[in-house]
Amino acid sequence: MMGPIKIDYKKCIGCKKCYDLCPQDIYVIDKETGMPKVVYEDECWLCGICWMECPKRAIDIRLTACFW
Amino acid sequence: MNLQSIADRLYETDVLVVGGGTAGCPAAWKAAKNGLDVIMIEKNHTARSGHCAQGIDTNLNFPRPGVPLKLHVADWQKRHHMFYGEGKFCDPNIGWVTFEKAYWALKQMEDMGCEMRWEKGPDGKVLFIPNMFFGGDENQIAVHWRNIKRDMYNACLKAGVKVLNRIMLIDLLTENGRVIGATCYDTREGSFIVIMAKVVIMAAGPLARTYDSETPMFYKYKYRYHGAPGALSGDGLAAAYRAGAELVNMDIGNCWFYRLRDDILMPIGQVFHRDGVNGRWTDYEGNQYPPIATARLYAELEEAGKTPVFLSQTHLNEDYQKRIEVATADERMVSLKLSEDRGFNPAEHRYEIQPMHLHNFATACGIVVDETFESNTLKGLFAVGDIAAALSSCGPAVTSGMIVGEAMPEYIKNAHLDKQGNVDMNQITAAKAIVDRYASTPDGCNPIELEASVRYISTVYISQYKQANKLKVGQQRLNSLRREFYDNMDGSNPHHLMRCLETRNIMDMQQVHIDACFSRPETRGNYTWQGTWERDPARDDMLTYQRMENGKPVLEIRHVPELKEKYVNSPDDAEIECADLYWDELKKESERK
Repeated sequence: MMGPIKIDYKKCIGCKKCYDLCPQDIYVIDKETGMPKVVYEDECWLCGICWMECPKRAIDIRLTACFW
Repeated sequence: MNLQSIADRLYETDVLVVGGGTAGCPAAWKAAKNGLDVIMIEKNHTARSGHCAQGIDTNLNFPRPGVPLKLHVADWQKRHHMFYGEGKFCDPNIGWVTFEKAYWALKQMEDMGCEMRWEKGPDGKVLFIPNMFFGGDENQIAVHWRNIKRDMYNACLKAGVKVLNRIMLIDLLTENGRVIGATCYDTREGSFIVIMAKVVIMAAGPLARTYDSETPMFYKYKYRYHGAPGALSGDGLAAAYRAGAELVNMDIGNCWFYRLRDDILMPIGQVFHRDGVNGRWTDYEGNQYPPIATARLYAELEEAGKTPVFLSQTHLNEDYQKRIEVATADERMVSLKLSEDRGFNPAEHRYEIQPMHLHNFATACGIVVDETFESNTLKGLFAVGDIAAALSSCGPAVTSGMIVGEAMPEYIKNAHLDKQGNVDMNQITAAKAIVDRYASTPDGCNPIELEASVRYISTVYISQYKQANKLKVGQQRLNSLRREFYDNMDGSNPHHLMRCLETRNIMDMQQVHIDACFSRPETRGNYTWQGTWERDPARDDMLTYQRMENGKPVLEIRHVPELKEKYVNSPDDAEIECADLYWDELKKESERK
């Protein structure tokens, strides 16, 4: 299902900025890969902090239908 | 059982700052600079949290040269009453100190390392513009779009503040009407933390999540509040209330944009008021109406079948269109990107004007403080920023934070707080029991879903009408929710447990809100787009104050304090601290006006 956050793992370097800074704490670091993943996506506020802070622009935010 | 065995972590400090936002950071920084031990706890991450999360917020409340402070204070009260209704707590003494210390606080901000000037480097000037928010007589600093929040965070670290991120406040610890610390919860590790402090500065921000978000929508769990993710759950308010602090204005909700009253329309983003440049009201067919239109006009158009009504700015130049786009994007950069994704064109876009629904009470309610920002009923508890009644937005937040931080060493000395208070173990075990209970209820209710249910009660049974019978039913529904779920939420991991604690606070505040609404029949009813609050003039300036006393809620209706003698008698041309540092910029701005 389409959620607001999409991480491009080809670009992601695992710096954990999104995990550190997300005000809603929706990210969790995957223990196996060391990469961030979105676990609590339904709590996303679309504030765009992860999108702004990501050094590789690996995160994209898309509007879900209810915000359109 | 002793403190060491029950707490996973135990801290002792001089000052505990709750909340690392635009008010908390200055308070912590200033107190640390003055040689105190400071711990600052923040539910999210201080580098990107609070209302200033995007780091682009702006500063209000700079008095204009040549205008006596008395006039500024009177104007400030008038505007707040216009915006929030006559019942807004506007202690003129607090207004006075925030105006008086505004330039001083700005200077402190610069010392802190925050980039406050339009251009970087030696040529940089602070860009003062007229107050965009309320169209008042004072100045504000224009938004420069740089991230000052990170500067604040780094300054705090550098000054030696112990910043604890991802730590949520559970409850305050008290001893004989004095705050002596707090119990907290680590939302990542799941550990239980006790912090003993001589003074607690509450900077946890306002409450909004008892109401629906700004944009009405049906998606069950969605939040959407202006600018401040993760905040607005009123954790500080609820904890202070439970500990005995007095709250005021819990009956007044407010509406931000699209607000319609019978005397004024506040358009989206309010940029239209600047420099006399206005958008145009048009209906679907393109007929134009006066730009500052009234609710009555809206009602007439609705009856005539002419709605929807739009605010159009196709006639403005590109610069203004861009500014309006920015303002309507909630000051969130990502909103601009999302607008682009949707093929949004600011030059052609018409913003639809809708009759308002009440969506929060972010800036009307708060902890009752005097002009030293100390709570009137709970010693050692200071409230700064939006959580303090009478203050709203980031200018006063910074100013109040700086004032309190500056006053702390003197306060601690005068109050003879040489050592920590004696902790009451019952308070600690009670807080621990709350955490344990949620942690051991994996089949409990989803806290976010419960929060949505609480908001639903506000929207349907309280809302702008506050009709007595509906309030009663709303009260019953809240009671049944509390009975069933208050102790029965799923906090099976630390993330969810944080949400449980938030929802607990939201439910407590909802209860206070309903009690407050019952107490003021004259503010109930008829707040629709066709009229305004129906008020009893005899009870204007009589506000609803609420506090807990011996475990029982107490509600009083009292007057607002008057301006103190020393302020009334002060000369009109009294010097304002540090204003001369910014005088050139100010004079330029005054000439422009």
